[in-house]
Amino acid sequence: MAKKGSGGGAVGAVVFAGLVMLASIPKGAWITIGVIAFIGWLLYALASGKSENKNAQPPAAAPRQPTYRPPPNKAQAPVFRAQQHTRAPEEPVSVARAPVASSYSVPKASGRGESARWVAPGESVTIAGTSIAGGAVYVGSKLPTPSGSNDPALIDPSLPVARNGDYTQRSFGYWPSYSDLQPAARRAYLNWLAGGRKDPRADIGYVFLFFYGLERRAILDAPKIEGGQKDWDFIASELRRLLGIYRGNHSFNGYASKLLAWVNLATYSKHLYQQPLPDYEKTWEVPLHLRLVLGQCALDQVPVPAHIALAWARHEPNVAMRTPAVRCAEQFDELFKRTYQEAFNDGMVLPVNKTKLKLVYTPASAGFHGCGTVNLTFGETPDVSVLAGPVKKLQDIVEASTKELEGFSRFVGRNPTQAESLDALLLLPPTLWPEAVQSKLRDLKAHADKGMVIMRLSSLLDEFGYTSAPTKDKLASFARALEAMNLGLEPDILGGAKAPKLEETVVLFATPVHDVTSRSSPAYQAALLTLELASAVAAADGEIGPEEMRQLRTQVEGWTHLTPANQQRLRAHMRLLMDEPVSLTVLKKKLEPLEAGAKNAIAKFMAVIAQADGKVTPAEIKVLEKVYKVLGVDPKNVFTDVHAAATAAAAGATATPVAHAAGAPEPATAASPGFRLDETRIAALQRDTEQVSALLSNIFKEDDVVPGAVPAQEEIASADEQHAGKASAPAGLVGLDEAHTAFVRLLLSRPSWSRQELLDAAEDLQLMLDGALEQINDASFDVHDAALTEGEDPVEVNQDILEKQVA
Amino acid sequence: MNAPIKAKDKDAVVQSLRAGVVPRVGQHLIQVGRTKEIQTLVGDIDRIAEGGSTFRLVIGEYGAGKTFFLNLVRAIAMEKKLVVASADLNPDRRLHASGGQARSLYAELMRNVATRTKPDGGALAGIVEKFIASSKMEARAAGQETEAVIRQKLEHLTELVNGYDFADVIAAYCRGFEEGNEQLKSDAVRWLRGEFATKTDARQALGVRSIVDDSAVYDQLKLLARFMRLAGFSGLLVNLDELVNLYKLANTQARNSNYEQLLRILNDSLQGTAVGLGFILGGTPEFLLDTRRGLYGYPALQSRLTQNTFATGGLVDFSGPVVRLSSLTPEDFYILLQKIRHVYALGEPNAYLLPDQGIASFMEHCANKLGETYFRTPRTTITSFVNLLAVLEQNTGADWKQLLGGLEVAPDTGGDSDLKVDDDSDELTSFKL
Repeated sequence: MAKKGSGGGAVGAVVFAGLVMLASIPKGAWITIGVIAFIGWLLYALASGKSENKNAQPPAAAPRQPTYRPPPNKAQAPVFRAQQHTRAPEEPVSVARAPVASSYSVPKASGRGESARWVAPGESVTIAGTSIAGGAVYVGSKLPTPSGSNDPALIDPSLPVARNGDYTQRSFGYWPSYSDLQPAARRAYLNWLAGGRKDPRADIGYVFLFFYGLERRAILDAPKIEGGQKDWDFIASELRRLLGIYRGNHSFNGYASKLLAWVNLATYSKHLYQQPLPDYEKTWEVPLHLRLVLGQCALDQVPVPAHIALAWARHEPNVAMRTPAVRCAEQFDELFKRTYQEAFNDGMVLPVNKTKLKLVYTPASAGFHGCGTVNLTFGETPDVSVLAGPVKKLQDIVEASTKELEGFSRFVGRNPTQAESLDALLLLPPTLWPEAVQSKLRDLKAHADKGMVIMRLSSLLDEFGYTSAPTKDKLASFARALEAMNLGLEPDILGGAKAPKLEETVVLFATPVHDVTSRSSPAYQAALLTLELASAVAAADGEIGPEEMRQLRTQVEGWTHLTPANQQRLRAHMRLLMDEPVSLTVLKKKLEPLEAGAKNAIAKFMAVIAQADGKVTPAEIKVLEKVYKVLGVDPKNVFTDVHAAATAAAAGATATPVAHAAGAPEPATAASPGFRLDETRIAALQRDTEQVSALLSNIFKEDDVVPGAVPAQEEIASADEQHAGKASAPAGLVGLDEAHTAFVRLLLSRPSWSRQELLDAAEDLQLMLDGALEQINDASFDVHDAALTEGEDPVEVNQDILEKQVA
Repeated sequence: MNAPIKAKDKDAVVQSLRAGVVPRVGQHLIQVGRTKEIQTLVGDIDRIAEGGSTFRLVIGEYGAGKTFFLNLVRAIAMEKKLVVASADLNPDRRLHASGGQARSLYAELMRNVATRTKPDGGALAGIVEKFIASSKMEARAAGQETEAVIRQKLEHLTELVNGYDFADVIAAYCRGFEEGNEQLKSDAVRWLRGEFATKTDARQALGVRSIVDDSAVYDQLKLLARFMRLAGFSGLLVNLDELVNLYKLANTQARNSNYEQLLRILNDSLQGTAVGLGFILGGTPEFLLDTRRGLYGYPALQSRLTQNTFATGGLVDFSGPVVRLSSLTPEDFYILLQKIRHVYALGEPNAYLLPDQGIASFMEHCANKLGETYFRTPRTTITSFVNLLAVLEQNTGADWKQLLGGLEVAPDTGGDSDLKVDDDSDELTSFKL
């Protein structure tokens, strides 16, 4: 920034001429001349330093009443000060706390007066015949800067103005000042102003010239007057307007943005984070306002809300935003907030670091020369943007969010028009879906909460405006989307099931949690297979009846080694199997990796299922045989197992769920101790056995000598009465005719007979031996519960009866 | 359980068990559980006694106790004054055949006709004589010819197949007795037993034109059932075991005609056309369930044999023709061993040769030696147990714990042959102390 000194050139020429003359002076005089020259320069330097100090003094002098009052809200006046940049030890110049009503207030005098006035925005003023409508300029002849000279922005109407001027041409140096302009340039400036300060072709120098005025007003004058807020507001809007036009100039962009930030923060609330954030311009650093907000969060130890974190992430230059974050900004923002909240709940709590937040404003105007930078500080509010930790965290969240968006972003990149289609949505996390789609999902969920929803895949997809047959990937993401809503979908595409066709049935059900991992466990897989096999068996008789269904459900509920979510899914799967049974050939492949023990258990379970409806049809047996074959179990076991199932059912034992069908270890029935008896079962059996003993003993009346004898005697007595007059029956045998009775008497006379002897005796009595013995023994059984004779040849007479008879 | 047990019953039971066969008497002493099944069969027997007809398939695994159950039922039936005819089917004895195998089955049944007084079989002659004797009594009372009374009594048998000839044969027996013609009597019994192979022989011997041949077996049984009632018995129970032999028939036609015969029997019993006749048949699950060779392969039978649809989940219906016996569990086995010990001690708890713990140890020993299924095929293990008891009985000082360690038990593999077709290997069981 070379300063173009006006007097510098003349001094140089004089010095040069002097040097030429001195060249001829003899050597001896050189030292004297050198010393004198040095002293002279030293004196000059001291003198000029003093004069500068004198000029700087007045504004810095004694404390004065501030005219600026804080607005009624909690707004706070920032402390801003202008710092002298040259001589270090000198006091900084405070421009804020020491405003004096008189010293810099808008001169009341007219434009031609001594001091300049601020032409209020909107007020028009005519200069050199040109009417400037917009106002917002200083007009007058005297407007001192802190360094004492006239402000470069001041339009002095007394200065000559050329008739023509072209504001697209630059005709002045780097730091323009209205007073120093050529008359033609003044004309150009006035023209630009009159044209509404908006011609984009204008040379940036003119814009700066105007900007100087705004800058002065904002920093030096506005804080000192009442209603300065109004000026700041105007200046802010004017700056935004100008930025809109002249942003292309980096220099202007930089200054104007900075000033805008300055103006914006000229007043601020203590709890900015409670207010909505303004729209920040894209800058190369975190906007000051945002930093202030963040700083306040840190100061108050308030968690940074998601939207503020998002703004931070978006404006933090150290956070890299990849294409998806930019292309799908809306979804990204949503996702970012969600991820952020997942990571930090209410938000990050920032540490209060030592670096205090301050706005270092380097004024553009030459009028501030000598003031150095103007700083705006915010009390103890730290500048958290210097921290690396939070930025790293933000970056992580951005990265995570971006990753989720990648698919969607690519799709939208290729098909910009289909951003709303299901195809596109499927690539998005469902929480980011448009409200209409989400509400449909919610409806579906509400339905599923009441009970399983069974529908065709096509009608399900129709709901979401999808008509063509989706690819498996699409369906998988759809299923994932449903799952994210705690809606399970069967067939389990995520678990590796074949994608259903459009016309096939799907089952939607409410699932407590969504976990795909537990479904890959061997236990679940085995259970699933079992169920599929079971349905194949149950469906063998044409359809799965309600009883078979009930049995299957009982089984599923008995598999307590599965999580409730898994059981829920199995139930849904079962429902699906009713409509879409699986073929055995499909199952065969799946079954191969199972262990032999598990296969056996599954086979047994199948038999139980087939038996469940109370009848086992030949068709079911045939399917069972196939199943056994598929399982690699000997099909002959079918009969054994079906039989066992049938007897178990008949015994009233509710079929024990085959909990171990599914790879779960068998409970230690035959395991390590090798041997164990079920006491309760023994007790039950003993009761049953006693029952059966009682039943049988009624039939097989024991020949009880003591208790049994009494009824026998009675019987004899009553029989005797009936056959009154007859000889008392031998051996108590009654109801026999005379011949038989005589034969019995004969028999009782000897303990043993040969057959021939008896044959002869029988013939004498006109009896047939075998028939007679049969009849006698039968009668004997009735009375004594034992036959009278035993054996064929010889025939033995029962000694017990014989003894009784004798007695 | 506290009733004393007769030494005779004990011996019968123990000897049978020791030989590895089912006891023919005293089964009720060692019956474990199965109340409902037994009640069902008792109901059947009562129905037969009332003149009804029944048909039961007793289905159980090898070792589940089918034969035991059948024998128990047989004993109950005899106790209830039924005549019981029992036979095991085998390749030479079938329900239907053309080469004399059916007649062979019939002959076997008749040889084994048993009553309460003759529980070991051979009761046929006695029954016939009993009938004739009662006829004689009536004849005397009415002053008629005995033969006339017999003919009159057998009048309504003549409507059945072979009915006339049957009456003739009974009359011939009566004549043989009255005339002292032993030859005639034995010819008559031979005819009744189905031992005449040709009609010519029968005609020459008895003057009848027919014999009990393969095709007339079931009709003859129906005839006999009515005759038994006339002879003063409650009815006839036909007890057929090892029906798996039908399943084992390799020839489809032969198998099916046997099943057809079963169907006929079943239909008759369901329709009540047979009088006082009951069938009880023992078979294995595959005999029932196999869809190619079992009863399930024969649709007409299958549809009549399927269970009651409503009898599930703890509800029991034994009105269906199939009674299923579950295989033994260790607990069943435990109680069975207790019962055997009880019988061995003649029902006297003080005389137990082995404490409960000893039974458990014995089972554990078997489990270790034979694996966990020892109790499902209990034949050999029961034999070992009885042997153990015998040793303990004879050596009063012996410690069961020591004996147990050296006890050998052999696996029972007899069931394997059930699944083989036409394989007639003998069951070999072995034990050693």
